[in-house]
Amino acid sequence: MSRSLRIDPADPRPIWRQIEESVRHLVASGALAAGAPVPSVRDLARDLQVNPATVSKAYQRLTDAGVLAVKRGEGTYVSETPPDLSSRERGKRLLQGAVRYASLAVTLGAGREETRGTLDDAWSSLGAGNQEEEEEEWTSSPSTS
Amino acid sequence: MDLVAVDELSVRYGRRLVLDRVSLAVPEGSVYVLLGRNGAGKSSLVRCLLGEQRPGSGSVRLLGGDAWRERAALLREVGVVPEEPDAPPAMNARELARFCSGLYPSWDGAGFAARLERFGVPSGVPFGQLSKGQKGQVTLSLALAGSPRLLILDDPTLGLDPVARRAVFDELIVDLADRGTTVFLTSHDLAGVEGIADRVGVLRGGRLLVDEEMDTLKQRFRRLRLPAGNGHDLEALAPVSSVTRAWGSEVVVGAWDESFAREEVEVSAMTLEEIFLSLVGQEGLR
Amino acid sequence: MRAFAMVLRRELAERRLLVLAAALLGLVPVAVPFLPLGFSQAPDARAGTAIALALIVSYVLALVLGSTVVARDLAERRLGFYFSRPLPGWAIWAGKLAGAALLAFGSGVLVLLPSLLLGDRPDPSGYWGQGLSRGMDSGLASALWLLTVLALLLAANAAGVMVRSRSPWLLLDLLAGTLLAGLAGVTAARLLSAWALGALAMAQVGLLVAVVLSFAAASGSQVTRGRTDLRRGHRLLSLTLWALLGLSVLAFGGYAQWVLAAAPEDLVELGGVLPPPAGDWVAVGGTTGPARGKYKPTFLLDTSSGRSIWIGAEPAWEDLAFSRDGRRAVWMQMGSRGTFPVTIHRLDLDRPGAEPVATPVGFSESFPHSLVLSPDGSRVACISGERIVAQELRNGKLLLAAPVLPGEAWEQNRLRFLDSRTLRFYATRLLRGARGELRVFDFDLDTGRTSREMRLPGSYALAGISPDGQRVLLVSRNDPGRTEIAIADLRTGEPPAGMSVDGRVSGLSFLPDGRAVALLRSRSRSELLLLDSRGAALKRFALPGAYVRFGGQPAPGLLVVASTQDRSVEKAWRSDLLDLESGALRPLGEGLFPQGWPNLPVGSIGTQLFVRKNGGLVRIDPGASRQRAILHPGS
Repeated sequence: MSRSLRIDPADPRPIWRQIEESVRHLVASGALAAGAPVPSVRDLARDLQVNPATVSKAYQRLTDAGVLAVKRGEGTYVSETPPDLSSRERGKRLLQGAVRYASLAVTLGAGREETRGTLDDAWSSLGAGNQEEEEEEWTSSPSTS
Repeated sequence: MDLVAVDELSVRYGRRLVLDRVSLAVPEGSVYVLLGRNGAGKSSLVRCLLGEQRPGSGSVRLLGGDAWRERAALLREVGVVPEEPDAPPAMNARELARFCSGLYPSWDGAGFAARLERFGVPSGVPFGQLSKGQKGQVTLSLALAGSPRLLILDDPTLGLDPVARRAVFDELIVDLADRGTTVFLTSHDLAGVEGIADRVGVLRGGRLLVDEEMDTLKQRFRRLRLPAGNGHDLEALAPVSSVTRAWGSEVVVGAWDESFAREEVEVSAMTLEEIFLSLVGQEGLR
Repeated sequence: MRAFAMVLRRELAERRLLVLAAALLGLVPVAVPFLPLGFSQAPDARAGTAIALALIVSYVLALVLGSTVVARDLAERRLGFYFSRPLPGWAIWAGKLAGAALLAFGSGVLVLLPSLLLGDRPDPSGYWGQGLSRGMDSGLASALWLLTVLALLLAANAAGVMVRSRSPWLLLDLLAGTLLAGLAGVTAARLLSAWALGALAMAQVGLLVAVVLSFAAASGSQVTRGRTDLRRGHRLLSLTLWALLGLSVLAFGGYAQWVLAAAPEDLVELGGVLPPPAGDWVAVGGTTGPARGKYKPTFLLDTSSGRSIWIGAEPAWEDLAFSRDGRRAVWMQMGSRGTFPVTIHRLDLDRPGAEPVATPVGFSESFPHSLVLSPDGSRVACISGERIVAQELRNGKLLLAAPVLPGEAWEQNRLRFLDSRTLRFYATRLLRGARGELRVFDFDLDTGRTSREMRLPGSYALAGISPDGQRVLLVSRNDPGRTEIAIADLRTGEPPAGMSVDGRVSGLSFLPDGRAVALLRSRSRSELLLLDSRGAALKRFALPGAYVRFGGQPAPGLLVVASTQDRSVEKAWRSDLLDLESGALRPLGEGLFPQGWPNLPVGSIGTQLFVRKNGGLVRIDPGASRQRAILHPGS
């Protein structure tokens, strides 16, 4: 998971939010399978070189939202049934993202068709919805670089 | 409780005002990073925290006690990593540990040995013969072995190669995760501390320009790219610097509000380093 | 306390090698007797080398360690290691300095050890060069050694901080240091020139202790309040140091002032009183108490008013002479520490408020003696080198410089002014074959030449000269068991006439009226013999006591005699008044020792002064039955 989770210092979102949304994204895209283990706070913090409290906060929110679950004595895992975001919440978030994308496209001077086409390509690249794709394996031992 | 509470601290060196009414606080459990150029007054502040320098005016409280008057008692729960390693060159890591073990109420000798091994530092080699990175690692290990409630680090990665730097931050993060230590550090490695610190202060010319949560700072700073000929009124956004380029101008603002988003204005967030440079760099307006 | 021990242990461990080196050096003195060096065969060569080496090692280490142990660590920013740990400031300071002191002093002891183990018991005297060590025991010597090591260590520490801080305070330090050293030196010179050596020695030890304490306090202040800031530490060090040292030097000055302000009342023991032929002034000297280091001043004291003038301390002065009317006194004043030049000083006693004045008469080649003053006080004469010298007191004009019978062995020399113009010189000598002679020369001071020469054959010793200088009292012992007493009148030139007595003569003197008295002791009996002006016996009186002394004649017809059974007990004398007509003895009192002698004018002050057993001085006028204390002992 560490390999696909990157904190962008130039991203205006707080780090815990970036982690939270990345995890949600990975879970939603199926890159993180349900029931798969998630690195400990300690390890993830070290890998990302961030304050463990930050990771802890992200994990807490994800646990509260039901995305992650803690198994007593065994660590944190992706919950068996990741909850769906309420459709209203989902719709709101999607719209926000879309506005940003559309704004960018306008600034660049791209037309509607091109914008839509690019969106399709991006969707494909994520491999979203394809459960048959092999699951990413990752360990919880410290990566070395 | 604030483990570090500095209130209206002023320090004078001869005629020079090195620190000018600086006030900051480090709540328990937080990681505070103090940034500033060389000569901005960081070292003096650290010396005041350690009770090595007497405040000209104002107060410095450490773990609730006066840093100057109660230094020896308060340092029992504080781990210190100074900018320059100052352990006696003739002592090796083992002897240093033995010397320090008697000074702290709870000494984690096993943890010290484990850290040295993780770092790969030999415990029988005299301190003076270790490399710069190894010296820093030994000093950090000594500081952590005292199981301190507060860690004070003065530029702990100065002069270290990337591997050594990473190792230091790794240890710090592990300690944060395991014991929730409160940390006050100064650093020039802005990229390195960006993720670890949750509070940040910026010192310039003895004055504290910024003292807030990292998230808040990054939330309010933006770099705006404005096309030429645009007569935007940016006063409300608290512009910090402005550079005119061929295609237009680039303005750094310190009070960004989402409601100012415009089609023609390209807004990008800034890294800590970029924010720092805009505040204290040559092109800073204030 | 634990923190102090930890720092101390660390400091010692860091310099382990020094201890080893010191232990090795300790073997050098042991090898000395076997080395082919000039002094190596002397009996105490080993002990001497051991002590010298031990002192050198300890002092050098004190200086080196002192200047680095704090100052260098501060300058090289290594003191932060201690200060960023829970170690109290005083423990850091004390641990470092105690470590350095232990190393320096301990190394010295290690160097001394092999020699001590081999049985040498070194004599600590002679290694301090200050005259302090006479009679010093090894405990005191060791304490002084340790104190000196500490002083050097602390001074080097202060110097190290001052130099390394590179701050302008160094100028203040140099200024203050020079000033205080100068003040201390001036004070020490004052004590030295007054020969108050005991006080100086005590003050030096006190000053040493004060110096050590001042440096220690200053250093402590620097470390505990300056901490890792070298410049600030220097400022604290300097302020504390100069304030304390300044107080110490002031105290030293105050002490010296107090010592030298001793008055006759402060004498706990009277050394002696020199009375004048007339008048109420006397010269009195004695010893002050232990607080003044047994300083021995001498004064001219006006016994009627109590006013006293300090004229010096032994051996700063000698040979005081009064004029015949008692209105002037002259004496020889040495340069500092009893050196040349010797100047004649005078004091006019009849002028109230007069101060001693140096006259132009001085000597720079040999010490003069036998100082005499002309009756009117205008001229002085003495014997200097091999010459009889007479000078005008007012302008130093040389009146006479006659060689003293060169090439001949003369036993007794005396000088007398017969009058202002004539100076008489008396000398006796023994020739071969148990013969001898008395030679008398008269010098005319207006011409500077001998005006008369007389020779009196006979193996006599000169016992006394009459006040007018014309008659001499002679005594000789050719025959054991018998003594010859004779009087010669130099005016007539006739051979001496006298008598022979049994036993020993323990006192012999002219009386003012021209007669003479002698004290005889034979077979544990004491007698006073009264002789007429031609030396014939007039009366013999028995006297009590095993040992007898004359006094003077306090009233006409009475002579003071003092006696004691045991001469070894100080002041256990009793004085009586002897009636020269009847021989009756009237007791004056126990514990009284007379200060006069028979040839003083009757009733002059010298004849009436007595030193009491308890140390006081008292004047007794038997004629008026009056007794007055002049000086109380040790008040």
